[in-house]
Amino acid sequence: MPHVQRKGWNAAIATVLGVSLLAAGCSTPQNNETPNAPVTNTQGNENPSAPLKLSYWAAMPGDAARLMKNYNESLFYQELEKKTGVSVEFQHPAVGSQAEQFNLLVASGNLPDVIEYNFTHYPGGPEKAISDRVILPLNDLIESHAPNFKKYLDDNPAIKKEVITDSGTIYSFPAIGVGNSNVSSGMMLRQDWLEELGLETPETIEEWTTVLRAFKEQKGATSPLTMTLGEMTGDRFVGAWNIGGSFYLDNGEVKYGPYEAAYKEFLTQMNAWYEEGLLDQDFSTQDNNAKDGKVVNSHSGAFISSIGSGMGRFLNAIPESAPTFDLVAAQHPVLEKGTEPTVFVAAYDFRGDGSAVITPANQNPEATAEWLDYLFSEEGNNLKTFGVEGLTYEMVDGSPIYTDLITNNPDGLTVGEAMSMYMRVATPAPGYVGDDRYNQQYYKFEQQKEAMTIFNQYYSNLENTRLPRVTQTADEAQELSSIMAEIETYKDEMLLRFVMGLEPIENFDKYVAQLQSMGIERALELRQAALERYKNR
Amino acid sequence: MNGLLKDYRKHKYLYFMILPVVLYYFIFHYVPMYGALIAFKDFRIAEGFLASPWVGFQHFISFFDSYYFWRLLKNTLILNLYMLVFSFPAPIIFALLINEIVGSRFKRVVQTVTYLPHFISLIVVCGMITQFLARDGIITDLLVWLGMERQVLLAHPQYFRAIYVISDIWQGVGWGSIIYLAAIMGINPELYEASRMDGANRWRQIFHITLPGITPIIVILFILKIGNMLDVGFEKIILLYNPNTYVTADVISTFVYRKGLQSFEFSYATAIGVFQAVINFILLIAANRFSKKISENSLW
Repeated sequence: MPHVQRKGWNAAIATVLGVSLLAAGCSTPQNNETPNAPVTNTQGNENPSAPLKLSYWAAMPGDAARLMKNYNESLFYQELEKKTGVSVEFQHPAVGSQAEQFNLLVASGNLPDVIEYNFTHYPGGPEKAISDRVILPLNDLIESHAPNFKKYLDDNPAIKKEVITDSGTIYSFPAIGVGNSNVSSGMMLRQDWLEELGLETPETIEEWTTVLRAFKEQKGATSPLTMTLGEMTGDRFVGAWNIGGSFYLDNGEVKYGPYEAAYKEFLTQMNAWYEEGLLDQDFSTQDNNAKDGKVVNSHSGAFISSIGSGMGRFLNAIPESAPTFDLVAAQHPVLEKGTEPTVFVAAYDFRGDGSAVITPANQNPEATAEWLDYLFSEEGNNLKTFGVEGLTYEMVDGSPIYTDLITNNPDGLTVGEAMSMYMRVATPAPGYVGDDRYNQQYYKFEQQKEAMTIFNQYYSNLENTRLPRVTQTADEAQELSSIMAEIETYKDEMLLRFVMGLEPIENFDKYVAQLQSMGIERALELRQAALERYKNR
Repeated sequence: MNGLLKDYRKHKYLYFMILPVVLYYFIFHYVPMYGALIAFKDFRIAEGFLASPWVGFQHFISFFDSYYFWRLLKNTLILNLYMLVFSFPAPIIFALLINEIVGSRFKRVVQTVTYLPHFISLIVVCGMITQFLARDGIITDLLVWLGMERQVLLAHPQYFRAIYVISDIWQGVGWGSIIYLAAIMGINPELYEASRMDGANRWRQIFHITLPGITPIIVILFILKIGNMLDVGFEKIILLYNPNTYVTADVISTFVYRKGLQSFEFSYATAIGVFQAVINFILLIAANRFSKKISENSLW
C-alpha cells in the first residue's frame, strides 16, 4: 500500500498544480481600458495660430454609448470643431464604471487636458481636487477668457454661489439648469382607473389610501402602489411629513429625516399600506424593470417615475391588455388638504454632473477656456441644444422646432437616442441644460407637459428645505463618510424591518438611540458647519 | 547548493519551462504586496504612496470597533462553514457517482451538461437566481406547489445562506469534480481487479479503493479551503443581497466594498484585507499541521 499512497500523492500534486495553473490562466486580470497618455500640445504655445488639439475625458450616457464609440461621431462635436477650430481627442470610460475609472485616471497622474465629471463627488470635495493638482482654479481665466460664462455668473449671483467653493474659487465650466424643469419625476396614477372609479387625483396621504384601496378592491391591482427601495428611502412619500429621507433643512437647521419624530409616523403609514397589501410586497427587492412590468401589466395603478423616460415610454406603447391605459401626474403628497408640499426630489440648478474642468496638464488653458466658454454663448447653446438649422431643427415663429430626424427618426431611433446622436442635450453637459424649449418637445404627450407643470409648481419651496450643495473639508469628509456608512446601512435595514412589520414600531425610540450612538449628532454638526460656510460664500 | 546546480544541469529545460510561472507569481503576486503598507497609512491619492502619513493601527482599531464587526465576522464564518459542509463534499460525491456510470456516451453527456453552468458569467447566474426566486419565479412556483406561501425568497434573511450555497453547488459541482475524476483515473486498475477477485462489490470498491485513492487530494483541497475561511467572493453577494438580508448576507468583503470602494477609503479597506489575510494564513498553517498529525497528509 505505501507504494500506492506515494503514487497517489504525485498524481494529486500534479492535478492540483495543473488545475490551479488553469485557474490562474483563466483569472488573469482583465486589462482595463485605461486611457493612454494624454496628447501634449507643446507647439500650441509657441505658435498660437496652430490648431488646438485637446484630450478630453468624459463619460458617455447610455443612449450615446449604444450609438457611437466616440463623441467625435456626433454632429455636435463635428460642428463645434468647424466653428472653433479646436479638435478634440476623447477618452471615454466604460459605461457604468466611470467612478472607478476616474479614480484610476487621477491615481495614474496621466491627466488629459479637460475632464468632465461631477467634482462634488470627489473625495474631500473640489477644493481637495485643486490641492491634489487635479484641476486648475479658473477665476482669473474666466475673468479674462470666458466672457459669456462670466456674464452669466455676474447676472445670476445665486447660481454663482452654487458653483464656487467655500473660498470663492470657480473650478469648472458646469452644467447649469436654466429651464423650469428641475423636478423631472414624481408620482403617477392610472387616469383611466381614476375616472372609472370616479376618484380625484389624490393629494393627501388619506386620499392616497382611499385611491389605493379602490385600485386593489375594484380594479384587482395586486400591488396598487409600486416602487423600488431607492424610491422608498428617497424624498418621495416621506416628504408629506415635511421631512427628508436623508439630510434636509428646517428653518436653516440641518436635520436628518430618519432621526426625526415624524419619521415614525411615516414608517407607521408605510407599514399600514404594506400590511393591507396596498404597497408592493416586493418593493425592497425589485428593480426598475420589474416595477415597469407591473405598470404595463396593470398589476399596479400608482408608481413613481420620470416624465421623460418613464411616462413617455408608457404612453408611447399602450399595452394591448389595457387599451384605455392613461396616466396622470399627482402633486407631491401632503398630510393636510390645501397645504403645499415642501420636500420632494429635484435636480439642483448647478447639476454637478457634466462639469468640465481644466487640468494642470493642459498647455493651453486660455484657449481651452475660450473654447469651453463658447458653449455658454447663445450660438453655442443653440448648437448644443438644437443642432444645425435645416437639419435637426427649423425656426417656426421664432422658436426652434426639431425636425423629423429627431422626433420621428427614419432609422428608428427614439427621441432620446436621436438627440444624443446629433447634440448634447438630454444629459448634463457643460453649458445650459433643461431649456424649456427643448423640454416642451422632448415631452411630446400632453400628460407629460401637464406633469412637468404639476411637479414643478412648488419648486421654490425647496429653497427652505433642501440642503444646498455644501462642501466638506477633506478631514470632515472622511469623518462624515465613515459615520454615515454605518448609519445608512443601519437606517436602510431598520426602515425595511419597520415597514415590513418585522420590528414593532414601538422600538422606534431604540432605533433613534442607536442612531445617536452611531454618531448622527456629529454628522449633523459637520453638515451644519458646511452649510454656514456655504452661506458665507 | 551543489545538488541544485547539478539538478539544474540535468533538467535545464524543465527549469526553463517553469520560469514564466515563477515570474508571473513574482511580478503579479509578490511585487504588489508592498501596497499592503497603506493599511498603516492615511493614503491620499495626490500625495501618493510614499508621502501619505503613517497612522499605525488606526484603521484596524476602527474596524474592530465598528458596530458591524461581530455580525460581519459571524456571517462570513457561518457562510464558509456551510460551504465547507455542503458545497465541499458535493463534487466528491458527484465524481464518485460519475465514475460508476458504465455507458461512456451517457457519462460524457452528464459531464458536459454539469460543466456548463461553470462557464456562465456570475452576473447572468445571479440574474437567473433573482428571476427564478421572484414572486412569480419558476422556483417559487415550484415551492408554492409544494405548499410554501408565495413570497420573494431573496427578501428573507433566513433563506439567504441556503440560496447562496445551493446555487454555488449547482454552478460548481461539475467543474469541481474534474479534479477528483482525474485523481480517480490515476488509481491503479489492478487494485479493482484484485478486489473483485476477493468478492468486493461496488460499494466496497468505492470505500476501500476509490476513496482512499483520492484522499490525498481531498485533504489538500480541504486545507486550501480552510485557508480561505475569511474570504467570500463578494460579487455574488453584492448581486444577491439587499438591506433586507444584510442580517445574514453582509460579510467582510461586501463591507469592504461598500466602505472602501464606494467611499474611497482605500487604507481602511486595505486594513481589513490585511486582517483577513493574516487570519487566513494562521488557519491554513493550523489546518495543515492538524492534518499532518492525524492523517499524515499535508500540503508541505
